[in-house]
Amino acid sequence: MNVQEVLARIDKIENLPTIPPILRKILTVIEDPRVSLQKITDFVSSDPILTARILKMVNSPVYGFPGRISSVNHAMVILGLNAVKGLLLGVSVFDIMKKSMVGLWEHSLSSAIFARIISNKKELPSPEEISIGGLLHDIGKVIMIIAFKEEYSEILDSVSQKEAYLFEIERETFGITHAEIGGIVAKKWNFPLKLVEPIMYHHRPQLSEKFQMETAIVHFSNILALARGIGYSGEEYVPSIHNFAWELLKLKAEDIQEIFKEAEEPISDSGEVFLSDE
Amino acid sequence: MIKISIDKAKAGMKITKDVVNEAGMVVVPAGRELTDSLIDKLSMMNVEFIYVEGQKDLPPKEEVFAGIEKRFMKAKDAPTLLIKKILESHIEELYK
Repeated sequence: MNVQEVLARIDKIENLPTIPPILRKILTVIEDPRVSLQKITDFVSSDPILTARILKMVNSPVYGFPGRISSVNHAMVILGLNAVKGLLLGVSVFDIMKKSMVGLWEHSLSSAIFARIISNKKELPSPEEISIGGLLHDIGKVIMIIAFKEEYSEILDSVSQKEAYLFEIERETFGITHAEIGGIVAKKWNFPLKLVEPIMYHHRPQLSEKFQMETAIVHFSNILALARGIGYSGEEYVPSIHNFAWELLKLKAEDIQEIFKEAEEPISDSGEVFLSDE
Repeated sequence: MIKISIDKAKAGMKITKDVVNEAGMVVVPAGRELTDSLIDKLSMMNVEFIYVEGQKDLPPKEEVFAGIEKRFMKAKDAPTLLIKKILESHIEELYK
């Protein structure tokens, strides 16, 4: 299969029979570049499952907001339009992650937790948005499962046997990796560059242009989540941290120790919240 | 001390951290022992988690360390090996 064929199928993903209805429904809303916060609020409020999932997510240890957020309106105000769009996408792929790639949701959640903690440590202004980058960094894998279920399952099975990185096998097979595919769809769905770059370059942070720090954080969060061994992302081996990200983040050994420590409770708590879902 | 969801609570467990309601008021003080009626009351108040006495169920330590060894099999560079070392000391702490 060559890159053109892969991209052609991904481009028509909304029309594939394998796309879940909830995702199709959400895409019609978030794809609109002029969509307002009010319109998204109304859309979410009209759907009880979406409402429950969004509230569950904002009240989960992934974000660690103090106090309870009990309305969609309140959640929207706290998170802002971009994070809400990302979160909607996250909760709408939850089912596919749960069904088609057991463990990917847990890996995504723990990456989101690490991303939030590192962003706070670096005193960045919007840790929630970067955390959404962590939550969605592997969205390309979900897309691959929707578009190429059989081929992708074979690739996943070959990781241990080849003792290779998943993203390397993807490149050999498809000529492109899940990171780039995720970035391409995020762009197509009108996500802000602040989310597109971390998704697109989470395996090659040195290629990011405008959001280098955000990308470096998501790159590092993925590595920490893999290292800690939470969930399953298809990747069996921890990839090396890229020197570009390492230099940019400038984290000391004590910082990393604190990050692991701080992540421990939210990671085990969020597992419990979402395993007992619905 | 462990944190458990209210549906896992059982009579006889000892509360180790004040349980507060949505307004922030203490409804059950630390030190109290749970009873069935207290658990019902807390569920009705939409309390989701409580902290009780106990040890977290951790997998065998050797298993965890073997997993780390395997996952880091391909890492050869100094920063990634440093992350591995820090993770190992973090895991060591969890078992203390």
